[in-house]
Amino acid sequence: MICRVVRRSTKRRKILLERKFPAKAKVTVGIGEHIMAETVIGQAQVSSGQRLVKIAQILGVRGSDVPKYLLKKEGERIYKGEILASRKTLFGTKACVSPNDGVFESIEGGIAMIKLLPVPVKVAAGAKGKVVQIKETAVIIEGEAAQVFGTLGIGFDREGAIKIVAKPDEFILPNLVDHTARDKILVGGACVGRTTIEKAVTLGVSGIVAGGISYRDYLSLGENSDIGVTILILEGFGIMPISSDLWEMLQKLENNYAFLSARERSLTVPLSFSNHAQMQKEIPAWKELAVGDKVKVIGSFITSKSIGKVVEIGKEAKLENGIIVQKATVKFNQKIEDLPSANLEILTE
Amino acid sequence: MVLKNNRAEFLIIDAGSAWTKGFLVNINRSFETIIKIEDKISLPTSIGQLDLTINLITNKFKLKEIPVILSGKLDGLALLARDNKYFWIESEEAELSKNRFFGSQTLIFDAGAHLYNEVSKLSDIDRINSFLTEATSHIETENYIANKKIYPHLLPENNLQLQIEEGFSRLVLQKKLKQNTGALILTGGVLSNHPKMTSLILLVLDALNEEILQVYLDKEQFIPSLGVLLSFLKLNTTLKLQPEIINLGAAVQIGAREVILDSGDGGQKITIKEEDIVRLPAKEGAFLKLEFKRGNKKIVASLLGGSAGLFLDSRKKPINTGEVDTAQNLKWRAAVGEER
Repeated sequence: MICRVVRRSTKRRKILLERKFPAKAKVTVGIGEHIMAETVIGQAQVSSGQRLVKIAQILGVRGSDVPKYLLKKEGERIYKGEILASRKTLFGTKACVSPNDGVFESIEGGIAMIKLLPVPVKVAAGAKGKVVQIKETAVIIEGEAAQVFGTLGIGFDREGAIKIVAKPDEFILPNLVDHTARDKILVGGACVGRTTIEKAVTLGVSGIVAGGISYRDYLSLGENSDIGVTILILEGFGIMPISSDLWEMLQKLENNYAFLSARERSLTVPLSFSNHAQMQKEIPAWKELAVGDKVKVIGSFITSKSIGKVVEIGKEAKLENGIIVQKATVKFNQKIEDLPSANLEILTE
Repeated sequence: MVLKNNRAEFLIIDAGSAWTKGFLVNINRSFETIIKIEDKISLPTSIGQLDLTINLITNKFKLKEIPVILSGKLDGLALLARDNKYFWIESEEAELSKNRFFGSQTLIFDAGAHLYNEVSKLSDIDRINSFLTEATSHIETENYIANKKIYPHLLPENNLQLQIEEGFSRLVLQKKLKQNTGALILTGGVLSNHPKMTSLILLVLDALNEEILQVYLDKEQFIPSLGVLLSFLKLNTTLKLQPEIINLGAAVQIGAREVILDSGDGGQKITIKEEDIVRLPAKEGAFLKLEFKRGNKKIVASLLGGSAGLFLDSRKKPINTGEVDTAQNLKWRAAVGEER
């Protein structure tokens, strides 16, 4: 019998980290330069959007009459609280002030558009390493990292420090997510629900890494959309405790700064140099199951029956439901069990 | 293709999205065309590394210098066939040959992994639970189906998972059955591997509306490969399969009424109560004549007895899933002869 070969984690490997800028940036490092995680690699001007000011409504005039009350010209810089337009009335003066610093972009139908001033953003490397390539919108850093791979990913790429919030077989309940979770990647739990995800978005959490999610919640989040938090599901749909191999590793990585990619379904944690990390080797997608293989049982919701070692490959045998399958005998921590070979994945580093 | 001395041997490989089946077949066209399955193998399809599964299958039969015919829908298969000098049959072409051979009144219902992409509405999936004999939540059923989408070769480990997969097939079959269908061939996935033929009959009865169906089971999962072979050999004659497709029996949707069943002994009157399923023993291959009235119309149906018998169903269709509970399910399963 052949089984899928999966790499669920890598303790240390060489990586090429693409550090993207939020906008076109002035790069402050050079190729070949050795940098620390906190080194600023570039400065970008991030646009903050625009605001509409209903001048006609505030002054109590028709839209077409607004231009004669304007105190600022289109294209002119304006500061928060500065008067944009005013009109004298019998009872005094009505004034319309700018709600933000920005540029008075245009006026149409009595509504002014104030383009907010771009905010300067300094981008830190986030990983120790060597700059190997500079692009218009990103810097490529060669470094070392630990990686954890999951089954499903939702949302854009995000980053933050890892914070463990629940044991592998618990639920991540909303009360486990508080203000200390802001900008963090929350890890733990056999299942994360929609209520917790909504609370995480409100509190500005960067990401959530959990064992499972219900299919219903997954669909409601939109399969290919972003809801403001990145989610990495390690095991599958349903209540799926994080398996022991990944849990041990994630615990050791707590408080480290990490990068979460839904597209690659990975959590990447940059590490300091060891000089013996290798680039990741290609692995076959499938191989024949053999005695001694470390395997994961697909769809298992029992932690103790998740990761094991093949001790025997059997012939065809009948399951309790009467279906005839090719069985494999797998040794887990506490017991030995016969399972359909088709329900196993071979694990590799 | 011309067969030397009217005999030939082929290895047909049907690469599905979850499992790939290889059949070593022997064809003899002396008096009648006999297609005999000499050996078979089924392996998960190694998506991303297709040559692994295909090579393992061809290696199993490597002592024999036999032509290999490959077919399937996955990208890269045609190229793999060309590189290895295998014969290549487009899956659409095989499908056409198969449908032409069985005719428009036969529905071939393949419950392969592709089935899981045919239903995605949660409200549809939720209907599966009404037919389970073990308690579980809608959410758990949805999650099992969703995991099956990620891991299509996942096998049901217990009764509950088997019944969920069975229920999913029921959902899709209900959508596919048409009134002019006379014969139904069940193949692929949970259907070909199901240990209880009576469960399959009940699945068909649940999906039945006003039809009279002769139900067959392709236990070997050979029907898709038969399409490949028919297409390759440009065959469209009567043929004999060895082993044969199993005739499970006839399934008839009927109201609460009297029927006359004639199995060659002059006929007997049978009264069907409301909301009931009646299983009548009928020898496999025995000719049966069933007479009953639907409205003012007299219906006379010629049927064949099968390994599971003849089944008359007077339940209102479509079944109101809101009113079905475990006890009701167990009663229906007992009525078709399913042992617990």
